[in-house]
Amino acid sequence: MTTKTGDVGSRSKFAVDFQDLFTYLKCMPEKSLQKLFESPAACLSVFRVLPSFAQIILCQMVFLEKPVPRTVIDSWADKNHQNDVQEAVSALDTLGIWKNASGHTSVLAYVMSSRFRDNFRVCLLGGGKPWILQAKSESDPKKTRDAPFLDKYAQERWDCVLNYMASESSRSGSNQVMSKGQKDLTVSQDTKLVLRTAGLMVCDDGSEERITSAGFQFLLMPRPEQVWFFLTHYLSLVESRYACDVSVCLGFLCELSLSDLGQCYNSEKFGIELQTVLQHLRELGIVYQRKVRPDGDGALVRKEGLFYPTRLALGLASGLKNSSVLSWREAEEAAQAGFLIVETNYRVYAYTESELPISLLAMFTEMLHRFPGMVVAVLTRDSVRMALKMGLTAAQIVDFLKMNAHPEMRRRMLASGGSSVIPPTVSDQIHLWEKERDRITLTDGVAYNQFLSLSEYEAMRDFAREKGIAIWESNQRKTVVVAKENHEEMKRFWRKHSRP
Amino acid sequence: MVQVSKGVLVTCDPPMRQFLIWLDEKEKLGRKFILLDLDSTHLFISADVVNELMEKVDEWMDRISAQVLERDD
Repeated sequence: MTTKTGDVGSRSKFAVDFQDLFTYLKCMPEKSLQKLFESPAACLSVFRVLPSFAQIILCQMVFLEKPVPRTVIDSWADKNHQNDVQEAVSALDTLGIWKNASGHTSVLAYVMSSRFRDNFRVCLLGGGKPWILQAKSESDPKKTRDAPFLDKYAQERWDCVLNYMASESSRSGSNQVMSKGQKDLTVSQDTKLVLRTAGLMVCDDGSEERITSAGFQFLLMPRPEQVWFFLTHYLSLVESRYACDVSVCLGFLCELSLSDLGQCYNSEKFGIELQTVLQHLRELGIVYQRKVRPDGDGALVRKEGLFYPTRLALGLASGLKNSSVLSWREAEEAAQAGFLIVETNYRVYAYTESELPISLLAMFTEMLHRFPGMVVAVLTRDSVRMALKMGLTAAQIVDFLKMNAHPEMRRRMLASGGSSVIPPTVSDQIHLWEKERDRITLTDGVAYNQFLSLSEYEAMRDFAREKGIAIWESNQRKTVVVAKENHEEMKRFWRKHSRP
Repeated sequence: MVQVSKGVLVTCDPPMRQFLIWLDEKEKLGRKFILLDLDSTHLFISADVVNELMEKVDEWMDRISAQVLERDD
């Protein structure tokens, strides 16, 4: 059931505050933005996420020193694209990439912020100060790590975070399908803090952590979106907790996103705050650092000074439409190439050894049997309703089943000429189970009726209509209903109306 | 003069509305709770019965939903 009165938050699809770098930048304070523009890598990343007409404007203006009148900018686009111009102008305004340089004249003109212009030129022409990232080759060429190794590492580390979230949920739930302890599943306090800040996990009574409905939806998101979502919340913490300037940290992430996969970088010159950030990124699998045995000493330590960015880092700051992200998605898909068979009798067979997909599956199915390399689960009304109550949507569940469908399912679909990878009866039923919960919508409201005259009713109705707050009205019954929070407004109007 | 009543606006399908009206008439919640019967898809009810009402509706939905799966345990 939907109740707008209490748990409206858990029903609606949880909002990703910052879908990409551009929306994130728009919310950054002016000062941090200007500081961010000191990094050429950041300028390039910012340029890449701007609306395309803004990119055209910047290309025209980057080598100009004098202000460009607005009329000239307008002339670069034809009449049909004035909306694009408006969008571009407001984007450049909000990010402070250009300034109004009208001066005393009445002609509206703009000039690029000198900091952004200089560093953007560095991107195009080279030169400038050295970047934070300094490529360095391994002393021993045999120890160089290649892309497949880094992919595997990144996947393992990030799975660790997801596993932590998923296992916390299944521990408290009725499905005790997790067997723990084969892998290092520990997640640091810092990561836990970010998860809590992001509202993905909550601490009820100070001891046990619990996954939230947002957390559930997070688990089913594509991986690059997860990483970006996580990092936006990480960035909100770096300043207060790790004394690292948010612009410096974001600038560093921008440089990482432009780095090369399989290339080794030097971190010896990093300040203490970036070293801390680097360690956090390592834990998440965004960068890799090799463990080495220092001379004589037996214990393994992480060799400071050398690290490799993984695919999670590449294309990170360029938003999610970036091509390297796509290639990551392909790599990921190839790696875990569908393992789910869904039958028309609502049974789900998962052919996998790893814990994460199983605990994800356990969120909305009932586990029946578990064998080495395979689990059998069944979709029931109760299990799906449980997941819906936690805030998952039917579409997310169906997408998960589709995305992970076994190649055999695809083959069968093609052979039978069907259009859906999973049996339509199952996907329809999941949607029906969701719809069933929507049969009642409740809204806290206030009703006004038994007016003495038609004109009184009409005055009230017109006022509510005008304000767009009438949630129900009927001329026949002379009744108006508005939401509870709009009652005061109506009351004020009524007083004014009845005592002119 | 105008009568102002605070409560909850219920939006639902006609069968569900009939069910709620039946609950109200038979006083299944121990008392009447419908303040205004607005139209075929809307009711205005008192706010204090909402939780109880939702339980009743859930119960009803459980009764009318068929077990769709076969299991062998």
